[in-house]
Amino acid sequence: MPWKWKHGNALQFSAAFLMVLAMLFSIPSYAQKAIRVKGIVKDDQGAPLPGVSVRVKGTSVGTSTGKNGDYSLDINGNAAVITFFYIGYLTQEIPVGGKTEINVSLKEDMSSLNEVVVTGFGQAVKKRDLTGAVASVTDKQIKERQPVTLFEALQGQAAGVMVTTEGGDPSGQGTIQIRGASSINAGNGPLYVIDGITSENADFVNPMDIASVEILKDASSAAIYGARGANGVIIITTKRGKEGKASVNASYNNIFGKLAHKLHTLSADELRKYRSMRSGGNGANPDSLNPYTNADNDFQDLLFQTSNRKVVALTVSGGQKGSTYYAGANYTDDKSIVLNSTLKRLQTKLNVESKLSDKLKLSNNLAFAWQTGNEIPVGTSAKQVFEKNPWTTIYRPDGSLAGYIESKRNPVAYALLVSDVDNNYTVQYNTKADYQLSKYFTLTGVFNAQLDNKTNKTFSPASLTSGGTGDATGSNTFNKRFYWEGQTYLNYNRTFGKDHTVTGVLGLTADRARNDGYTIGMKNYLSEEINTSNAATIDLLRTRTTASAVASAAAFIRGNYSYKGRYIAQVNYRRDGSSKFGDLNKWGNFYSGSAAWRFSDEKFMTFAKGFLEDAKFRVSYGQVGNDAINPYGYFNVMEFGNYYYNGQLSATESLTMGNPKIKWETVNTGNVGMDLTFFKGRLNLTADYYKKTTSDLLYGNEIPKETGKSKSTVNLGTIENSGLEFAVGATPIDKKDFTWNTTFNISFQKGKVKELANHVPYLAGNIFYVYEGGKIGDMYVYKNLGVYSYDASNAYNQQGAKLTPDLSTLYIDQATGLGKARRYTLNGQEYSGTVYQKKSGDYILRGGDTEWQDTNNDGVIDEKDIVIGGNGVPKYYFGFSNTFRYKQFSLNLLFNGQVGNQIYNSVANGQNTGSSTYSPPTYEMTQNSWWKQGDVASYPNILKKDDNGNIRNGYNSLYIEDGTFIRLQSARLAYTFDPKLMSRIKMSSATVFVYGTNLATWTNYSWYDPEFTSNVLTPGVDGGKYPRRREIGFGINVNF
Amino acid sequence: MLIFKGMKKINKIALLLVVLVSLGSCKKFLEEKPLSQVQVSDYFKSVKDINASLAGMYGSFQLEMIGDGVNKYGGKYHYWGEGRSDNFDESGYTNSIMSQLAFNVLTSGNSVSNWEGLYRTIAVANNAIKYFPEIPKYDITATKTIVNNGLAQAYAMRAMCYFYIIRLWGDAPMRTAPYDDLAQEPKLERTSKDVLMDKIIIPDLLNAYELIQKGQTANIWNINEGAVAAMLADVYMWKAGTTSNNGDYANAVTWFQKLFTAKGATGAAYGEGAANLEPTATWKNLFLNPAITKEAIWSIHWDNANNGCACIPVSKMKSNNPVTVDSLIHADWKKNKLDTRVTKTIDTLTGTNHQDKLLKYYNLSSVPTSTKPEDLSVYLVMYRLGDMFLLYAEALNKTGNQTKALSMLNLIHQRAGLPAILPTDPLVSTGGVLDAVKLEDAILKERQYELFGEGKRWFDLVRTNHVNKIMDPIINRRTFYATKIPSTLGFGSNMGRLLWPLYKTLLEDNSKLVQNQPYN
Repeated sequence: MPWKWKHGNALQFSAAFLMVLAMLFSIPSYAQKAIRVKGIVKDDQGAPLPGVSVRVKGTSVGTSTGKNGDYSLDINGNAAVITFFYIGYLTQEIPVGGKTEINVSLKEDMSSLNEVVVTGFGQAVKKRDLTGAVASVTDKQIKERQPVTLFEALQGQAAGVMVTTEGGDPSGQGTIQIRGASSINAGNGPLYVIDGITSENADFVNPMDIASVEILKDASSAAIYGARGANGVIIITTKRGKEGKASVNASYNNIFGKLAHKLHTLSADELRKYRSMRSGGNGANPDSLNPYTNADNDFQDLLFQTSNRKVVALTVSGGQKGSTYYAGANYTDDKSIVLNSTLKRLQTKLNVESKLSDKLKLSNNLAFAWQTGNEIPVGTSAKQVFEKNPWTTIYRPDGSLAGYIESKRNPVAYALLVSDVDNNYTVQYNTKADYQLSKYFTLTGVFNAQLDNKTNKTFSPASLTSGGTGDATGSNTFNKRFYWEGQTYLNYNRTFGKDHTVTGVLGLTADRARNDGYTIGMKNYLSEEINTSNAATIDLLRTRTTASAVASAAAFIRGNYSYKGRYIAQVNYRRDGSSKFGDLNKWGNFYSGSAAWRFSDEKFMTFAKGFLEDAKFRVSYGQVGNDAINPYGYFNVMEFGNYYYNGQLSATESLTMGNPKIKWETVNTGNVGMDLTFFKGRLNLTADYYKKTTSDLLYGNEIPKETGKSKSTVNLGTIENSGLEFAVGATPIDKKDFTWNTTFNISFQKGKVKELANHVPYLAGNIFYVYEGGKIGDMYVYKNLGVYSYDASNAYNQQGAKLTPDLSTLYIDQATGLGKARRYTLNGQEYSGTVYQKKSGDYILRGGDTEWQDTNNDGVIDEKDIVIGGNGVPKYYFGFSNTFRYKQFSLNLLFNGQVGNQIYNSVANGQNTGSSTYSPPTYEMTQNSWWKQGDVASYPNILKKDDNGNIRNGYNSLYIEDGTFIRLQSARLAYTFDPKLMSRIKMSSATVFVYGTNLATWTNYSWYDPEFTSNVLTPGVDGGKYPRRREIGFGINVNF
Repeated sequence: MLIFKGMKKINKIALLLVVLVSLGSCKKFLEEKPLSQVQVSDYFKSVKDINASLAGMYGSFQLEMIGDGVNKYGGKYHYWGEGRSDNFDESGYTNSIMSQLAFNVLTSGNSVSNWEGLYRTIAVANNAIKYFPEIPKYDITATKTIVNNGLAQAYAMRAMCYFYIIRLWGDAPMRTAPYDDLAQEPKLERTSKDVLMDKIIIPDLLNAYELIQKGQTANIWNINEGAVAAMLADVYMWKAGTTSNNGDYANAVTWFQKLFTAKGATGAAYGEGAANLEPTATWKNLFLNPAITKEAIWSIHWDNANNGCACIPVSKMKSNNPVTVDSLIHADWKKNKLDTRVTKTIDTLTGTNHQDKLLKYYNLSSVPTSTKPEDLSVYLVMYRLGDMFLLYAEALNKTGNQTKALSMLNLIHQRAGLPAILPTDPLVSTGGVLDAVKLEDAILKERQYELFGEGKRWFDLVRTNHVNKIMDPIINRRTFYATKIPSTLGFGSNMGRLLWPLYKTLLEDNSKLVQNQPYN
């Protein structure tokens, strides 16, 4: 039994080794006398650093600094060396050498290599040892921006992570997309892991409570989260307390905002002029006595106001030996730029960690969040600004708000009188126990419970119905979600010899969520003061209750091996089970592997040691899954109450066919990357290339309607995304009084559809044609070539080349009434062949009609002529952040932008369509419409508008605009008071700052703002969004 | 210290519990049954289930005919039955659905050309036919009569849907069993309309008549004995007219006779005389409250409180109705001051708020601004005795019995308050002798007035081969009005256009379907 022998031998050897080691350290210490060393630890700005680990090198003797950075330590012998360690700072080692007072100033670590990156399930590695593609955002970066939501905190900070924030809407969160669209309809949002607990969203997390955010981008990093990691994983770690006296931090921000981009709406005069042209030159005489139609309103001025947002936050943290706490409370009161658009939000967080024994550690996290606010009906308020004639008043003669005038809604009345009020509560509690089984094994158990209670009340008064004679309508909604999750996992961490480090984790998780929803629709309110059902008739059509539940369970294992930190490898396996799939495919397996090679440690790289501190090459490949579909999709079900006939509720089979074969959608990602660190960490460079293929797309496939069914969830189709990401971090200037830090990241991406269900292309949101080989986000439209100046301009040769009429030979053809020319030229040459004309249906296009590209040259403009007119996905996007420090001042500027995407301006298109005689067109259209033969215009004959397909609302390339933008997203200038001064008034630090968001935007986009959220498959259609605000404010942050 | 130790213990136990929970039986844990639905295999076990399933069948049909209760312009009953006829025209607020119908320029993008809802209803009927016979095994109160009555309604409803399909699109896929397993081929080719007629529509209706309990007072909201007979008569009339097979008129007459023996909502047999028609004074009850009339056979029930807005496109709408009563019939009909139906059927005032409104289904004489369609119930007529009398007259006329045909016609004509048409009236006779061609036209005209807004006119024109005769001048007039260019094209000579195009997504979803010519 050679193995056994070897094993025994190794044990004996290690025992002996340990004994010798113990003797070496213990014998001399007997001879020494204890001395007490005291001191204060500060950062290089002179601010005291609490929580710094102060240890005697090579022993377990140590302490940590108190809130004023002070420490005292009993040391045996003058030969000892004290190490001062603090995350984010360079570790210092100072020999005691007889001193009794050692004051230290720790220097900030420019290199992020030693930052610890959380990789999930109790595992964390130093950034330098990462094998996958992981981006980190630290509290320091977040602090520089005063973000209100997680999305604002992450925007522009990480390569490969496209964050879109929600304009000025106070309750809007935004969307986050990691490495392009990876799913067609099973959801594209990432998975959130908040303090180890998986979550669908992170809305209840206050960004200021965040200690770090890790974004797991490639499959090998995310694979540990298996079936739900397909769209990437965002790991959020919230702040903990540090041992020492209580530290109290209070902050107050107050910020004011304005509509960032005011648009030119028509004045009454401009519109009257336009209308008179439209009615054939007859002047439109205003009725000077009519109180309703004798104003000149810019509804933007009436609807928008100065916004004001106040944020008050208080955190208390600290701890005693073996026990720490962190408590944070944050209150936001936001009054946004649209009248009556409000938000109030309270977020609290309590983290308590206790070391119950040497082996057992217990952590408890409690979060509570409440949010309320009035959601503005954007469609009937902000968008209505352009649809209402400027001469109509917003008040009745008696001073009350008018409802409809000239068939158009009153935006101010809608904003003020329609209510849509949320009252949402979230309580989340999790407890975690870590038990040190042995030197190498730690067993962890986690249990989490979360209750979301979302209520909503809507109400629309009778005065806003057409003519003011209708009924008030409203509803009360109550949604409850209860979620629990349990995890246990076993961590292993051991270094063999000096060079071989092995870590691993093995674990199990299980979770279940249940949703219950109750909605009561109401009408015929007896009193509009009361919005409850006792004062109204219940509207049976809008009243219902619903319920559903999903459960999942998984087992996983991950192993890491590192040889001297030079060769690192990781493998990962996870088996996931979900209640959403049938017995055939309930379980799915996900594998991944990754490796890294620190070639800077190789001999052949010694020449570069002077400037290249660290260089690492990474490669990874892995699988993750997606199960974000509706529950119960695998069997046929009877649905109740879809119909009601003559007193009887119905039972009918669901139109969605059950599919017992459905399984996980799988994302395979290959990633190669390189991390380079130059000049002692003053320059970092990370580059990644990935190729991400989503196969077995979960897809609501249309099935032949003759089956009597409509859809079935199937696994069919493949989409592929590939991209390049670069991130650079640098400290170009690092002087005592002046430093400049900068980070820049840029991401290039490409997504295409490789295979579709049944190979059948389909339209997603009208203009987005999804077909095999097509790019994601392609917009299919009629190509607008301008407007025919003359009737005779509609002239082509047989091949479809446009002819030029000789203007001196124009005449009117008596039979048809059409203008014609006797002579045409083609490229300057006399043309004598047959003249072909384009038609829309049977109608021959004339002067003033839009000239469309007749793609198939069949003479008729129809659906066959639709071509790709743009793409809503940016070719690349970037973030660029700069922090300057001069003495006590610091300035942070963050720019972000995206380039190469197009936006379909659906608002302007709709406005110019003129489906209602009462809507004014855009200002541009009034100025540049065709009016008479010979006019060179970009908008068609104003008399005809959409007749003869001149506008083709929703499919007109004229309304495709460049969506490229660069934005100064945030700026913050802070002054930190001299800590010495502060300590006199019993404060440890104080900072005052002025800051702003969305301060400048460079774009050619004509409407409110080029950045807005949309569905991943239908990106870039601006159908009227909540306009963005530009904000400037101030704040103060004090520490006791 | 004691507390500390205690806590330690608790934590160890907690830890153990977490481990146990995680390790616990996964298989059972991952079985989630729907909380607001039931698996099909667990359903169809009681009489309750028969009733709920039938409500689903009627509800699905009702959705197709009247709409979803929320959106305006919903409901295909009028678009299909009258949208292409001379009864309705596009209004100033027209939509693409209606302008295509008004000018006979239908495209495959016209959402009304979608047969999805009819096949959805067929699927509900197929489920009933499959599962109802099993129910007595589980529920002893499910008597043979109950099951058979349920089955009869399912068979008849399936026939009705296929009857709509062959009249609108001709050939169509044939499904007579539930599609309940994705492993089955979902794509079927179109089966000839004649096969559908002979293999489904007629056998299903005969089967339904066989199964249904006879001699009962009719529940006119559901398919009943009289309704099955009326459908059979209607089907044979269609077969006779469109295939010129005279023998089918005899079959139709047989079923008219069987209809006359069935009982109506009041418990009286329908019979063949004026006594069984709703009197002139209360004629409107047929639309406002058909269940109290002697004449009603089958109407669709719509209850606004539960079903929402009966936003039928030809009637009072939320706003900006795209459909209007055709100006010609609007102008002509109201000149006849004796016809009591005029003011009960349409708003005789002109202008956008009036001329476009059909008022037949409302207790209104003109459109008030304050009333909303959401607050009104609507009971669309599927079959009633007046309709059947006129159809009977058509059959009698075709089979040589002009005298009786005229007397049947007169029953309706006189009820409207008009004097009887004499056999010597030049309207129906030539040289004092009844003229079958003229009589047919007179019957058709009577049907147009009597059944205005009841979804019959287009099928009447096609069945009697009157489309060109009636529609050519109408379409020419509309074209001239719209383009100011005289048109002589009319409906056109391509009779492929009598059928509707197949909606484009149907073709995308089922690659075996071939579009009707000349559509693309």
